[in-house]
Amino acid sequence: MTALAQVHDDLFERMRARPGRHWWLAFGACGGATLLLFALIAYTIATGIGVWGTNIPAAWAFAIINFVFWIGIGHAGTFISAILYLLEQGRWRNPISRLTETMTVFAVIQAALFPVLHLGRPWFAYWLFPYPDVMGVWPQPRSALPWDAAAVSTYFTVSVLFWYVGMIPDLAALRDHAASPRARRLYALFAIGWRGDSRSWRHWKVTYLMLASIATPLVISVHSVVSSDFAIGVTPGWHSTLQPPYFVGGAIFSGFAMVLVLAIPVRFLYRLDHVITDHILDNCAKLLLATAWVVDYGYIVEHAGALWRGEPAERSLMLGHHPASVAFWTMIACNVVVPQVFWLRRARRSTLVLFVGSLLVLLGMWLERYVIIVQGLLRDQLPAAWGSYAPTLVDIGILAGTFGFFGLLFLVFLRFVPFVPVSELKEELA
Amino acid sequence: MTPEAGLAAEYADEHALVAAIRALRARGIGPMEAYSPIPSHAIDKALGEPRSPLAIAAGIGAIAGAGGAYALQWLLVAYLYPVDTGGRPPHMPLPFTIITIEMGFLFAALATFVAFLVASRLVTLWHPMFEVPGFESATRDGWWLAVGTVDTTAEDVLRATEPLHVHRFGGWS
Repeated sequence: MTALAQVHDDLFERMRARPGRHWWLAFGACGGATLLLFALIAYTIATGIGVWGTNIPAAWAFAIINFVFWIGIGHAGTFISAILYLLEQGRWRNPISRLTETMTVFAVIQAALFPVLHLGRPWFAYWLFPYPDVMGVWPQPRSALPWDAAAVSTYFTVSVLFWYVGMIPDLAALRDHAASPRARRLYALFAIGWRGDSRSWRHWKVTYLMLASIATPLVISVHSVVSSDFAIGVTPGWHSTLQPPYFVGGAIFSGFAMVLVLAIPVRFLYRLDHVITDHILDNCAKLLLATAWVVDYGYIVEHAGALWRGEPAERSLMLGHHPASVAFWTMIACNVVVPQVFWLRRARRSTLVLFVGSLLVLLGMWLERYVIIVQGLLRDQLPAAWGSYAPTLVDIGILAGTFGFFGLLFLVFLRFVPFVPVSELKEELA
Repeated sequence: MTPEAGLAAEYADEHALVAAIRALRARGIGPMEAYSPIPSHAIDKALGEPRSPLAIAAGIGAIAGAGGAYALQWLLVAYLYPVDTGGRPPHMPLPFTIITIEMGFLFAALATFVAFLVASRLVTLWHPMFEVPGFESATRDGWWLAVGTVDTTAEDVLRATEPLHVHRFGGWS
């Protein structure tokens, strides 16, 4: 048997293994959480967003926190699949690129739910797009909301195209070696007639390279646009040119944590230690540490800025008593202290430390968005307008539900789609 | 030109396939198309294929998307429905830039994808090569060559290149 056939058979056999007890347990839990999510979305739409804790002054609360969190998760996926591809880091990029691209697509789906629900009348969400209407009023690009609509829909579309184009040769392989005629017909549909002729391969290589080149600036631009929603406002803690690099760094940081949270169980369940190697996890941990310092630098500049700008509201918020002090100090512990453990090689090589550390980073990054968004709104320039905020059970249920929905999509993906890019690994072999 | 009918042969590895393409080309036999499990520069070179021009599609998409987005923003909010907010001008190039850049990326990607499907003749769910026995190895480890002729001299030259097996396909199967 040739080396190509060996890699092919080994990977497809592992990926097409029947799901074990772990998979079904996870599927049940995520399925339940997804049902909860849809029920709570239906309740929110039917009743109005008064069922959330969102109030005045905290008009941007859980919805926007979750939106920024989930959009951020996607960034590491694009970073790995596009930027590392252009930098020719294939040896540690290829085995996890499909997993991370998938993570991006599914995370953006979760993110997109929130601004739409936050509109209050989500059935008018299409008003954000310039369609030929009879009202004569169009989206206003001098305001930040249409920027988000443009940035997020571009990011989602490009991510899906990149993901799908990379997958076509593997879908064709599944079609050609499917066990049942029904599976063959289904995969044939998605493989759109891929034959592996030299003409298609030539165009495929250039298409993949072009999409990687287009996705690369999107890693920077999407979260920069999201951060501009904050930076152009005068709310204390938001109005700063620091926001774009701070948000992008934080996004990649949280995304790498999610990559590790997903890759470690997948490697264990599908016995892929020889594909998703310790070396790959080690590299992810190093990037986690590097981006942690970008975020930590952001914390320093944010607080130093409050000191030297001399704006009283900002100074009292940043340097006085934080209205969300528990969240703030937990965030510092998770995002500043925890990642420092990854200076140690032994920590980077221990899947348990990596997994737990990554979960803590995810918690820390969610809290960071909570601190930024809620605190500034509660303590603006006019003390008479100060307020308080607490999420309701519906808020918490929707947040938990998006984790379930994300997990459910991911589990189904593991079951039916080649989650290791077999053709790219074969190419590396040649 | 991808042959729709003729002779299909499988080879043991990339070198054998490339040698066969060279031998057939030297005798002026064609048209030919090679099928491989992974992309191969050697095959492209042997077949004498030019570089894929798809980057041009991306460039056109980017310019059209960005230009269109800027023009549309100007048309909608500076010309058709100008709003005076705090004395700011209706036509503000700086905020318009964000959507302009995003649409440049979006349409570059969409144009590349559509051009890829058209140039690779994809979304063709059936092709005569799929009927060739054993052709499913092309997505595993098989190296295939299709020649658009059943001429006996061509077949002799093809058989002399030591393929694993040869089949007729398409209208001549």
